[in-house]
Amino acid sequence: MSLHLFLVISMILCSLAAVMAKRTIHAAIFLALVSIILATIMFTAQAPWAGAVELSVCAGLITVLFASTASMIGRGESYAKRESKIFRFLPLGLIIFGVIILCCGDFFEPLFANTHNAAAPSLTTVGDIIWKLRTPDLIGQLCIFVAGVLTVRTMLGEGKDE
Amino acid sequence: MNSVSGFFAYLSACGLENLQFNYFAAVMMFFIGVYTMAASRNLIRLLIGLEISSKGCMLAFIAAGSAAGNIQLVQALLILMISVEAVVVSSGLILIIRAFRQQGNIDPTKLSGLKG
Amino acid sequence: MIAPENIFVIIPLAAAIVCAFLNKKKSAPAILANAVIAACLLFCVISFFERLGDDWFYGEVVLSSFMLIIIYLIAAAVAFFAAFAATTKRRGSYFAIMLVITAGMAGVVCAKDFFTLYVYIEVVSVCSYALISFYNRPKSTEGAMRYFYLSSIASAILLFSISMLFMHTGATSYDALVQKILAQNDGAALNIILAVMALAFMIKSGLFPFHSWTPDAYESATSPVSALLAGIVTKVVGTYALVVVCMLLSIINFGIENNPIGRAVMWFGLASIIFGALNAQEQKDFKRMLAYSSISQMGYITIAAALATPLAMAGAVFHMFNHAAFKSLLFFCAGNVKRATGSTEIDSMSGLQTKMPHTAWTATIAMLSTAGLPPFSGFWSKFFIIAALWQAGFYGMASAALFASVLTLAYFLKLQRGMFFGKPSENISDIEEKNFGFLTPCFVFSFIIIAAGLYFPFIYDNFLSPFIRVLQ
Repeated sequence: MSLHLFLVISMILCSLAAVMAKRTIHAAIFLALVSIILATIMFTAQAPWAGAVELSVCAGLITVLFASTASMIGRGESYAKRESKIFRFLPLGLIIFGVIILCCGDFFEPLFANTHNAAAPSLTTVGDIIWKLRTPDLIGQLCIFVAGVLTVRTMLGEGKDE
Repeated sequence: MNSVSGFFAYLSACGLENLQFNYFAAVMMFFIGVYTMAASRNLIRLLIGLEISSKGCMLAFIAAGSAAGNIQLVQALLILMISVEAVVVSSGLILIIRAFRQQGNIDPTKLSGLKG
Repeated sequence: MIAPENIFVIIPLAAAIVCAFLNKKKSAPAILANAVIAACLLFCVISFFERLGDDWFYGEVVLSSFMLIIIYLIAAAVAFFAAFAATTKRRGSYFAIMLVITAGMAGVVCAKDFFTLYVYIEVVSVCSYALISFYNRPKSTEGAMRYFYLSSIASAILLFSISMLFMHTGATSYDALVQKILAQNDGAALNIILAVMALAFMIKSGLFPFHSWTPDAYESATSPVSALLAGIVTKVVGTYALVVVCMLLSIINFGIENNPIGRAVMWFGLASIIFGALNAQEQKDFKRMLAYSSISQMGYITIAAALATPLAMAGAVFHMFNHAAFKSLLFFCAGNVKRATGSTEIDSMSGLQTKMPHTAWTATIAMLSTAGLPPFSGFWSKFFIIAALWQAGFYGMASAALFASVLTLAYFLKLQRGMFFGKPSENISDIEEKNFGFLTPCFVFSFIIIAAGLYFPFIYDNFLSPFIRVLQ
């Protein structure tokens, strides 16, 4: 049994647990576990930078955000509890879906044709690729950070002012 | 005996370079996430579903990148993707906090006011 | 180093950062936002006409330049209207978000790559949540939450289809996809990928089965914001992207004859034309009626884009322009009515024409253009779309589109008779319209609608024929 197989299976199990958890704080912890496992997969795939960002942002920052939201809306927890029965049959549904996908394997075969002959990249370091190849994306990052800061400022800002 | 060793050979083939297996796992994660987003009436759970489905997409990206030999490009895309996702999740959570402060309810279908 | 089209993203972004620091000032953010957007509009128009004769200036390049002009036109009008209409004390934040959303939309139309498209679509979505729920009212928060609910599902689907595309082609740009098509004859996998992508964009543009967020979001936002959302935001993040996907689909499948996904998208378009027009009849609120009308007009654009013949493409792009003009104008009129009377309920007032003649007449022009009556520009685009459907042999769909056009006229006539014309009711005796700032955008858009209708050959020669040149 290879390491990768173990990681992937435990990632799927953790995400099921995150979805089916009765309390938001448990869901956030399972989500952090999913992030940590994904970061491990990134490290094994020779993508250490992405793994580091995944660990610090998704496993760190987003978990903290979820946990603080859960504590802020303590009374809202009852809604989460009430609807957890929708997800009781999710594992069964997942298995059925997986079997269907495996049976239709031939249908999806063309997706994997010719993948291996993609053009080799001309730039070889992450920094070069981000700065030179993906300049529009980088500007988009800047836009989304400004948008995020403004959103937080507006929504946590003052009260009625009309 | 032969079938058992064949089974183990199949399991050991489920590595990082096996595109079909990784894609299958990514579809599974995506299914969990989108089912959650569609079935849940709770915006926090919706955000958890969003996170899980995007983790599935990241797995697909990693597998495709290491199979095609341009993992560096994938790394760049993943870093950009993670930061976009962080902003989206935090704006969603702030929307939830605001709705809860106003009405004490975080169900998008059961709030006041707007009709049909 | 920096590609020229990124300028249109960077300039509003820089202005937004400056604006965010001017939060408590009264007029400085508005002046800055208006000046920057007007300068960008001028720059867009000049660069469009400079590049008009060039050999490489066709197809997608023309489409994105034309969309840039539309974006900055609507953004300029909305910023001007908001400078007078926004009653908030946090004007810096307000105009900064408006500038960032403009930058995001410019990024969407300049993108040459699906991943870039995803990043900028998220920018626009985050700004939309902030703008819809800007005022601290429960109704606005609810509209924003409904938008968030469907929009994030669409984003997840879009990201998944991008990962499928990356797995199949090893890159995410439009060029890589087209080269993949040219290199191999089997388009089955690409058809699956583009179908998933089209689903995401259909949710984003609010077509029929996924429409439930549009009326809530448009009704709960304030008038400048709903003019921006209905006029351009949903068009850019949903319909423009859908047009690009449909163009790629028609390239893969060589026309509509063996293009199953294109046909399916056409049926979705037809369903939302009929559904939007029928539901608009029953609405009691001006803004909700406009939202359902918007769903119906989205259907026209989608049906033409999915057909993807040159005539239909010209009709789709021109209808996008027309829709931006008349729907923004109608939302401005709704804002004027709301400001004067405090309500947008259709039954609560009548005979507004006696007190607000300019609003009433500009609204009439926009409504007649929406319904597709001849002297106005809406006629030409609807004529193109219906003619293209007829030419391609979709007689049933063409007739249904024509019939829905009559329905559009019916619900707008009902609105006109109930609200603007007829006997004045008592509760409007002491209202008046006088503000120059609220009426100027209405006059400008009325002028554009009439001029584009009368001088249609000019529009066709300069904007539409370079766009469809390569398709023929």
